[in-house]
Amino acid sequence: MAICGDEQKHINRKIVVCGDYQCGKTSLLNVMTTGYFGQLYEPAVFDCHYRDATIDGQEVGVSMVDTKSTDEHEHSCGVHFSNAHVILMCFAVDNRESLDNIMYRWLDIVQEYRPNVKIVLVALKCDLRDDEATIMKLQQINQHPVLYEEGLATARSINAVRYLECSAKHNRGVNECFEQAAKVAMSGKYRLLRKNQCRSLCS
Amino acid sequence: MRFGELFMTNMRKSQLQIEVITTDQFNATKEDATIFGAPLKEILERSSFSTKGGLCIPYVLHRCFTEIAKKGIKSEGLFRLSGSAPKILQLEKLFSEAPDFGKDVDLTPYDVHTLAGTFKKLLRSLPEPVIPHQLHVYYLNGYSKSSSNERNLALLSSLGHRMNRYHFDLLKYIIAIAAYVEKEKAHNKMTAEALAIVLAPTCTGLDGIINKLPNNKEKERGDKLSVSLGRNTFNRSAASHNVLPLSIVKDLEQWTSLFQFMIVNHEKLLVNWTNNFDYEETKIIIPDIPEQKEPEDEEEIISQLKASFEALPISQKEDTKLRFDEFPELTFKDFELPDLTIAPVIKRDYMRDSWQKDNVEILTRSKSAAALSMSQSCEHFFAEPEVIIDVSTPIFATNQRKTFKPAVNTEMSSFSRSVQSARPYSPSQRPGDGKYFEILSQWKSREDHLAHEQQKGSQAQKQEQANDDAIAEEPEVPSEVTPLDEPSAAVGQEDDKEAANMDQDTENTTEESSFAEPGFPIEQQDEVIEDVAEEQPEELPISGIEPLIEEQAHENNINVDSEASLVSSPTALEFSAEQQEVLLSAESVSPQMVSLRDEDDCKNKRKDTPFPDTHMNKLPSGQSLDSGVYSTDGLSLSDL
Repeated sequence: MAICGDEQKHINRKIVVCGDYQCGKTSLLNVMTTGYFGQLYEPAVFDCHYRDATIDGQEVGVSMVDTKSTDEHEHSCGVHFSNAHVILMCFAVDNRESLDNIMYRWLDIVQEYRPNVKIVLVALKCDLRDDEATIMKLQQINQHPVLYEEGLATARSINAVRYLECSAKHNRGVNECFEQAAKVAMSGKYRLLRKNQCRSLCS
Repeated sequence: MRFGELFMTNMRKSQLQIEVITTDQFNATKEDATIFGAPLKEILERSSFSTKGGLCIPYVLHRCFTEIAKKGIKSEGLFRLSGSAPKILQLEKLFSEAPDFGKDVDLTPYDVHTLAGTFKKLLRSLPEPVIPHQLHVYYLNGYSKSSSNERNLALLSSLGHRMNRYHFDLLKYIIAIAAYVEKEKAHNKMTAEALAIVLAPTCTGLDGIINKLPNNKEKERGDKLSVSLGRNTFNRSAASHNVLPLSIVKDLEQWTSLFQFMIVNHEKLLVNWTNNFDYEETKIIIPDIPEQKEPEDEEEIISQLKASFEALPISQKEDTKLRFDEFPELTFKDFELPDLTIAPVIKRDYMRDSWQKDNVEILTRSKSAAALSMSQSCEHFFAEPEVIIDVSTPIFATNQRKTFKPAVNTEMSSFSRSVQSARPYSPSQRPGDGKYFEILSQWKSREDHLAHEQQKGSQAQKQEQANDDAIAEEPEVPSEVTPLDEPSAAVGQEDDKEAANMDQDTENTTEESSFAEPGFPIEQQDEVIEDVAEEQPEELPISGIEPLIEEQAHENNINVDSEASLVSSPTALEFSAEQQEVLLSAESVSPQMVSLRDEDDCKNKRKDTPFPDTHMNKLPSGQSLDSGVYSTDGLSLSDL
């Protein structure tokens, strides 16, 4: 009964990151957990990061799950969505298709596996918005980097809870992104271990 | 029901039980699928292309790849990067238009990666993947990295000849293409390994199987259909849903190395495949692939059933308390569906999006499979009354004994309403959330169940009298009318009805609370649920953060929905057929409307998809009132 008598609250929250190929999901998570931005390209595996946080005076263990984004793995992504509290949908500012695919591809997968989950839209690589080389590159195909207003409009249309912008390379807005995601995960109701369940475990 | 119990025990003991429903039985092809999603043979009938080497491949693949080769085989990350999803959808539509299936499509405006995405999508959407499920075992067990190249080559060459001709042609074509792309690896960075990573899941359909694995909802319901995949079998109840099954990951690794081997050694392989390769020279013994057994005769099944029952020890016979001979008039035909080949299993979550897509899964192709699903349904019927697989309804409907009719969930709403009146709804609790599953799991023993039935039988008559008055006041709602037209009216009716029933229910309150006691854990009041203070979005640290949703709006939804789910939470009692009909007409229509409207609202928030108006008509009569749907699964709406 000693276990049952322990009234300490253990709260765990699960955040899953999804988004198009090479839009910087793994870098975001690396900076969130370790603060280290890897320059080398390393293709993601299904990876789980864990970090403790204090949200509103409450200690929370936040686990962040990295997913593969290629077409072949979209269903295995869905497996990870199935018990997520928050889904961070990511797109890269210099890639307009990744923003389109959030509407047409990722929203469908999320709706299939986890309808009614809270969604946070995250714009990544925001430092490239002012990068001249990127602007020149996009001008050749008659495009420009995704603007703040466009991202916000998409967030409204997919009914996201938050719209965040950050740059993992310069470590701008990454910690805020983590805090906001954890806050969203903590919002609403949650239930603790019920006593009758506890009893059945001990007896 | 009693016979169902007997049948279940028989099936469990005998050899007849089939634990595996193969994946292709899950892969019910859509009726309207012409190219994407249709079987390979049908695709080839509609539009095919024969290469110079005489390979017969789908026309779409040919068009896409020639265009890719024209535009840039050297573009980086070819076949690995994902193209834009809307354009792929657009191409899919163009290629599946009826008369000529996209013979004259202009592919110039499309990106290389979009074309590659279309290429892969066709391969992934094949119901039977390029390497058929049947052969997976031989590939995975036979191939190993450590063994010599010659041995592996011989194995792969011989296994190729085992394939269907169409699939074999397609495999040859894919390997040839992969080799062609791999030659430019200095520019496109697609090495054999990178290509294998892409091709292995596409050609074996391993990722698609995850879609077929049970999700949380189904786990809670306890559907125990098992899925076979290659050499693995995933039991619905046993499979873990939040983690990828380890066996899939291992298989994927094996497949990746296998494809890498095939791409590297493509020249020898293609020579071996085109010539008649004589694998007997290599002295590799490959077991014959067993053909699928045809369904046996009815008489054999019955005789085997009887024999297996006779073989049981006496104690087990007494356990069942029934003998096969007690039903001399029943033959196998009584349990047979009208047409076993298309016995539909309606998904229980027809309120969700999936209803629009593929609400009907063809599960039973053979009689034996039907018998399996029947035994499972019987099992659930007995153990956990609310998780009947819906296939049981046609089975028992064909039976002439009305007492065998499964419990329709209409009376459950009355039961839950009585509970509601006994314990008033408090907003801090989440109703309908796993509560009833716990209750019902306590009824697993037969005696308990019967005792409950007897109690409820007496309760039911009182309840029915009370309801008769309520029926007279209410306007009848025809079940065919879609509730979407008048959602507010539905809510109004619901409220009126509750108000009307409240007075009558209070009379029964004392009795009902006493009878509900054994099932209802009293400790539930100890359940701790906390409200976290709502977020305060005014002061946010970074300029890019904007609160987008008013929490207030969510709260309003919560109240409506949670009440609806409370009213119609699943329980299972057993009533006679007449009582069922009375209750059926009276009650369970409007709760469905309420929750339906809420579902619809939620959906419209995210995406403006039209909700099918005709979904009520699609339901068979017995199943439309199945109330297991309302139980909020996992994260309920009130979590928002």
